[in-house]
Amino acid sequence: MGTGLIVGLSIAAVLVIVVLWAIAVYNGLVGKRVDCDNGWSQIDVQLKRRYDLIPNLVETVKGYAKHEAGTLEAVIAARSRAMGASAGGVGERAEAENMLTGALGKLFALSEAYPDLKANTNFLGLQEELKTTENKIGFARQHYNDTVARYESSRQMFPASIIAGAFSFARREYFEVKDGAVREAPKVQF
Amino acid sequence: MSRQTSATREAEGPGQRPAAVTGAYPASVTYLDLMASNKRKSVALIGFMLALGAAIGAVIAAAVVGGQGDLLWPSVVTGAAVALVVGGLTTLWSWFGGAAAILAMSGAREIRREEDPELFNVVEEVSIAAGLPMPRVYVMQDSALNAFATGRDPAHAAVAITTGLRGALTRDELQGVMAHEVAHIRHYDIRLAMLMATMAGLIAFACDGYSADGVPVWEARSGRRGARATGARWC
Repeated sequence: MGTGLIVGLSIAAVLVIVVLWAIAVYNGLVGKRVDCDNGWSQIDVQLKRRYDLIPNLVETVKGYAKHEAGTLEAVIAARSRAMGASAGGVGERAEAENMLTGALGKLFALSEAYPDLKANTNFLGLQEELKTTENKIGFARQHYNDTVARYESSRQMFPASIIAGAFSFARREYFEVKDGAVREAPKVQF
Repeated sequence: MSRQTSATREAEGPGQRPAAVTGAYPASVTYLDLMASNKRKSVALIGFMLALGAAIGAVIAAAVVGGQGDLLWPSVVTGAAVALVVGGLTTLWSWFGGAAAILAMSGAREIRREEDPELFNVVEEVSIAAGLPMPRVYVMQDSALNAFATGRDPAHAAVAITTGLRGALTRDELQGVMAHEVAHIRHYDIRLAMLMATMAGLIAFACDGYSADGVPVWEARSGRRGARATGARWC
């Protein structure tokens, strides 16, 4: 066996290993990106559910708390804004959704002052549905952010970052709760 | 407050947890390790039970044909083979029918969403948090404070709660209990516990079809005592 052949075979072997590695990294990145998309769609389902529940809630509350038009309008406005932002990016959407969460929190805090409203079974049903939707958004967000963290760390780490760059694997945004008002429990004033 | 502590004691009492979650683990042990360990133990349990069955079959066959030298080895092999077939069938029953048997013996009834939307919502929330499909939800008519999970894997899992515990808990407390049960599903504690409960139950059947007072075991163990003896231990 000549030296040339040995060198040639060695180069071929290294190339094969590099190509196999690149394929593995590429597939790994695709899998993690799919996880992100899947995680995001789970949040999306819950956000849409919340849009659907709000008109009913507003109608029910209106009958009992006529003097709270301002709070109700704030909820409706926040819902429209959130629905408008649903075509936008994750960051923009998170901000709009956080405002909606805040507005809903105020509405439920206010309902404490209306015993008749609190005794209404329709209202209680809607309150439970919105509460569970809110919880599901929270858990789905946690899950989604975990998938983004996994995707981002494989995307950015060397040497996988070379593959990520070559095939333009785009950055994924976290769904964050930035607004300070949302983190705090709504304050009730009498 | 006392209500809360008694609920905790009943549902989480000492000696009632599956082996996989007792004891302290170093921080480097993740839920993935516990999951793998439970799957390994489930396979080991099935293997051990089949081997035990085959050995017993062989011994019985040897005892039956004791004197006849030429027939000894063929009968030992036949005995072991018959025992393996029977063991294989009962393993299949444990695997596919074990959860249903445990739920039935606990007197658990599957409920629809409309019957208790809050309970359904809470289970759905913690399933999302765990990244699992929604398990089936069962209720046991019992004033005792208890809950358990069973099934062979997350896609075939069920959670059950007594009406007593359901009534004693606030929504947030219920979420805590269901998060605990869904964690058992996530960790595959349910698989190991289900196999142990059903295989041990079968052995009790085989060894002790009739108890000392002449009452068949399956009658003596039905109802509340049945719930205690099987599912409820695995809360």
